[in-house]
Amino acid sequence: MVDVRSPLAHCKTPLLARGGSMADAIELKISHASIGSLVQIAGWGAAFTEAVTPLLHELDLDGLGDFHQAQTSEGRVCFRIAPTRLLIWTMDSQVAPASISDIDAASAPILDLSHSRVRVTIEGSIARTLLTRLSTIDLRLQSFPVGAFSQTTIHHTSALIFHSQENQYELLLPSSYAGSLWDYIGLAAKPFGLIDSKP
Amino acid sequence: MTIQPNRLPEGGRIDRSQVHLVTFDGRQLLAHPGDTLASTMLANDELTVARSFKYHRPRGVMSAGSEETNALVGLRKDGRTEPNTPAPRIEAFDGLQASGQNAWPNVRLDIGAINQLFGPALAAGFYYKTFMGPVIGPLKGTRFWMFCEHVIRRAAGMGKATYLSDPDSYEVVNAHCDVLVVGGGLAGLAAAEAAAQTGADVILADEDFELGGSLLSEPTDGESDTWLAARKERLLQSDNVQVLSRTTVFGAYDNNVYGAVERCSDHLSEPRDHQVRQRYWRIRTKQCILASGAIERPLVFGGNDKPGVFLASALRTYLNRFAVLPGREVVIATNNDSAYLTAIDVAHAGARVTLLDTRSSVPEALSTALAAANVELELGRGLLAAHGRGRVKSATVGSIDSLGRLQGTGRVINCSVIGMSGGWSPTLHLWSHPGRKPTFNSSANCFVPEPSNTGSLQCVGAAAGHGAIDEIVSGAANAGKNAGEAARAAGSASTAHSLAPPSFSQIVDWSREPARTSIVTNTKGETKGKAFVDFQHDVTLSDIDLAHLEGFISVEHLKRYTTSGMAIDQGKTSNFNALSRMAQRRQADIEATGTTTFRPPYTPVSFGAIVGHETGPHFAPTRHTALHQWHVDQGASMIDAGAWVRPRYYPRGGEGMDEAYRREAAHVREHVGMVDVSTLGKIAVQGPDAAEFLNRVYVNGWKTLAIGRLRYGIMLREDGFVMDDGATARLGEHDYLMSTTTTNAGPVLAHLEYLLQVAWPDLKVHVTSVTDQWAAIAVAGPKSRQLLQDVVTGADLSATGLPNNHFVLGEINGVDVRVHRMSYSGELAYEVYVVSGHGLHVWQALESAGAPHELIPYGTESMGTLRIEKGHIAGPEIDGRTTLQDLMLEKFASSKKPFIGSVLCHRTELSGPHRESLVGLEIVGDVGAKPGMLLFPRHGDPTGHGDGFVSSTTYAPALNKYIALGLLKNGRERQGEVIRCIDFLSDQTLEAKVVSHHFFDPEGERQNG
Repeated sequence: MVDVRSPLAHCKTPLLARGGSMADAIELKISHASIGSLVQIAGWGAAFTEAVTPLLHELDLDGLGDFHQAQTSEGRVCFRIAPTRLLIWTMDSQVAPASISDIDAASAPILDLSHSRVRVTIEGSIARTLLTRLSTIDLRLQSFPVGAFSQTTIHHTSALIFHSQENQYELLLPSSYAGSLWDYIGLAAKPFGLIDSKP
Repeated sequence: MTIQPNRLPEGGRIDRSQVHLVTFDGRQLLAHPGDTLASTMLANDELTVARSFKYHRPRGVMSAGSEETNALVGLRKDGRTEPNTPAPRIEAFDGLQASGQNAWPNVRLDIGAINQLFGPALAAGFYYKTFMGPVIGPLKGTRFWMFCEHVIRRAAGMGKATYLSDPDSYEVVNAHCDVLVVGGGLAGLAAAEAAAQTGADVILADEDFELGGSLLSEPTDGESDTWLAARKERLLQSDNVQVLSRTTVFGAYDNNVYGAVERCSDHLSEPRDHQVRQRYWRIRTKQCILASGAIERPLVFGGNDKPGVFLASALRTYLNRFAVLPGREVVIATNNDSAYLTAIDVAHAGARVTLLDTRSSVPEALSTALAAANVELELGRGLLAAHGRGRVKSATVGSIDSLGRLQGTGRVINCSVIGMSGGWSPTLHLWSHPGRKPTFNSSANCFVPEPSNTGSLQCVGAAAGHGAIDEIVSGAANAGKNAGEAARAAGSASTAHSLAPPSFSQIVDWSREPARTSIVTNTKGETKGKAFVDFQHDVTLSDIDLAHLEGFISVEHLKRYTTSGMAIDQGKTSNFNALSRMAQRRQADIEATGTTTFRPPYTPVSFGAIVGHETGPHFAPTRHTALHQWHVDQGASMIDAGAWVRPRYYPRGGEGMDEAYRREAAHVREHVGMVDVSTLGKIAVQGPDAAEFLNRVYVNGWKTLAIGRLRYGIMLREDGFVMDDGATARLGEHDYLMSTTTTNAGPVLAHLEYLLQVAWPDLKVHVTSVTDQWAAIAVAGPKSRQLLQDVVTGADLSATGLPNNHFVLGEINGVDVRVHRMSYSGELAYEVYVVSGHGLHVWQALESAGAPHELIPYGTESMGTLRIEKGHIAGPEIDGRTTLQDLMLEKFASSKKPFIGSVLCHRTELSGPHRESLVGLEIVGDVGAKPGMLLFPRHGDPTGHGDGFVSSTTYAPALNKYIALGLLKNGRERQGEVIRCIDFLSDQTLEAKVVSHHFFDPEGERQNG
């Protein structure tokens, strides 16, 4: 199988920072990685729910979910990005769940978007602080707890921000903007004390 | 270097163990951590800090805060040059470089002071009257202004900005909180602590580098320090409180959004370790408590701008906070209680103090306290004028009546410092930014927030017009508690403990029965010498009188005619006195006279802070295709195309653009080339009603398109004008891939979403952008089929196996691809679609396989050449003003079905010979046309907008001549006519022959072969 080339292939990863302090602890890590598989399932009305429910059950995802909180299960995340649109993200595999193809296309068309997004991970104790330089959304824990996601913008570009675990956020960025946004994120991280790291 | 003659041997909140060297106009001054530039200069007896705007009068420090409009200085040098910064706002640091401005050679000796001789001529309205009106020989009105402008421009303005790039970086931070408290003084601290105790997320912003506000002006080590330390400790230890010092909240906007600037590195010679110079906070809060305090107003008397004249509260601040006493003979003039504290503290510091109070009586506690401090109190007295060249030496004082008129001639007393207090104005700028108008409180003699003061913004403390300390603290604490609970949802339990009000300074309350008198004149109502209302703009009392005389009596007119209250001042010290004088002249009260509207920013904000990182290469985000790095590595010359960065041409040797694109275009016609067309908009159209949807969107029919085929389509806007074009492929039963022009990808997607959501919500269709999912490579030229047959497996690419407007699925080097047969160049051509993550792999496979076929990459410039030769339209022709008929595309429109724009495209005005239609232009001669050239008949006077314009232009290697596309009135009937192409900007005229826009292979034999 031919490797998927990331638009950020030429960019050094990870970027590390000590949070501006002189301590040795790394307080910020910014990295990019393969997105795995990202599939959109869309549909209309009740037929959509009927069409996708078996798949969601099979993937151990509990229903359609809501527009703020992602559903996760065994390396898979489901974002409900519109009333009848889901993004199924399989983090560790470029292959979408096989049963997706069983869905009736007339009720819920499938669309592979794996190459249209790039995954950037921001983690560390000051990850949220860095994100406040990038995003306008309310990232306080009570408003954006672990599991929350938001389709928003970074540097005027659409971005999906997912609070994947404590002190860790996943950004799904448009592939064509990824290079520009990576540089921009690096610029925003500079005051936190970026240090040299081996690619 | 000087000693610090005005620094007291002890006291203050400065760190005497360390010494900073500060430079002003090349002279080195001693400072300590905790000093400001203003306190440093005063400590070093540098009283003249600046020169005034019009009259170049010497000016010194007047205040101790951001209300300073006298001591405006320039900071730093080169790219870090910063003009017009108030000296009291500048934190002293080692290496600080400041300079006086608006003076030559320096502020001590300024040639520009000669302007004072022309004072009467420089009154309000000077420019309008002098340069717009009079007739002096041939020079009159605007012409005279133009004559004088170059001289005036050099003399106008204050300070000098730099043209050099700012070497520092700035950032923008988005913050959300439950309660924002603006101001870290007595009220702000109390409110923040109370709000925090409810569990609310609190941001406390204060513009000073030390929390405390006016508490820092209290004597050190007293009860106020104890109270302050306790509040700071609680706040700094609270996890739910973020304290932002050095942060000025400069604007209040809709929906509880506040703008603030944190001066992160302004107190350093330059930012360290990649830190930002300033940080712009966009704060979204549920509740805001405005504890911004009040600003003391100057009194208006002759020479009130002289160095050595201070606001009384500032004198106390310099004494108690910075241990600076700029003179030992002090006269304090006041109309309210607050200046009594200054008098007492200054007297305790060893100065001889005379206090003049315009009121005839004061409470016994005050007079007793003054007597105990050995201050001479004169009631019913005012100060008519300050005297002294360069700095205050004496003052004329005497009895005044209720209108502020001196009774008799008064007497002159020696003094080196004057403190003045004309009352206090609550700092309501932020409160009124969203459009609120304050009301006048006659007992406190100031404008205050509306009594209701409800909603999500609460004023507390002096900002609410409160002057008594217990009232300030209890009111602020209540407001903080209420705000915290409201923000966290009503009814939440609060564990707030009560804040015991401190008892310091209880003898004064500025809001207790102040006198109205703030302007002191002689018996004729005139001041002795210039008496300033707005110090930055040299607006005097007589300017206000002149505005009244000339009918500019509305406060808004007054402000604009005199410029009072503009720029840095923003009405802080000038507004009330200007309004008072106008009220006097109108024989009305201040309430009836009204006040102007405050607008952001409260203090100046640097462009850098607003911009943040969005500068230089990050001014806007850029888009790269999956093949971008390959293009760059090949040395392609790149060009911005909207947000995209695309390869324009691939130069060889020393080729310039002209040589390169001509070579590339000619090569494609003869051999084969490939171009990265990944930027084309790509939209997945899915659903059982997709065909019906396309049928309604495009002018042509779509219901019969079979799977495996593609079709060129044109869509109109509802008004009948062409919106976009492109090919759409049917990938499956309910699955289509629409392509759009690069430029219109976004607008078309929005248009489709709009139609689905609003016009046809019943259609079962979803549209999704897949532009980034797919890389697209156009392979064009007579050898293109051969090349693809060599490299693509699993597909029949023969002429019959893959006719025009069909696609097949195959593989290139192990990667799935979809090969569309379609042509933009007019050559036999294909588009290879591959998921973008494999785009480079396929491109390189084509590159390898293409060597025997002499494959070259070509860029957007030669791509444009090929399409112009073929006569295909693109963005320059689909400019939003052209119709199907204009573009000779009406044959595509179906007459059997309605489509978007099908009604309005038939408007009478959109057809006929007056419309400009698409033509080809063969340029006569060896010089090409420029896009935008206007088209005129060969003969006649070329006036007006002409008969049309050149839209696209190129040199055509296939035709060996310069050609162009244009839109020409009645173009269909003018083929063969020779017309002129004129560029009026460069005075260039060319002749061109009107021909068909299908310059090359009009029958399409090459692309259909």
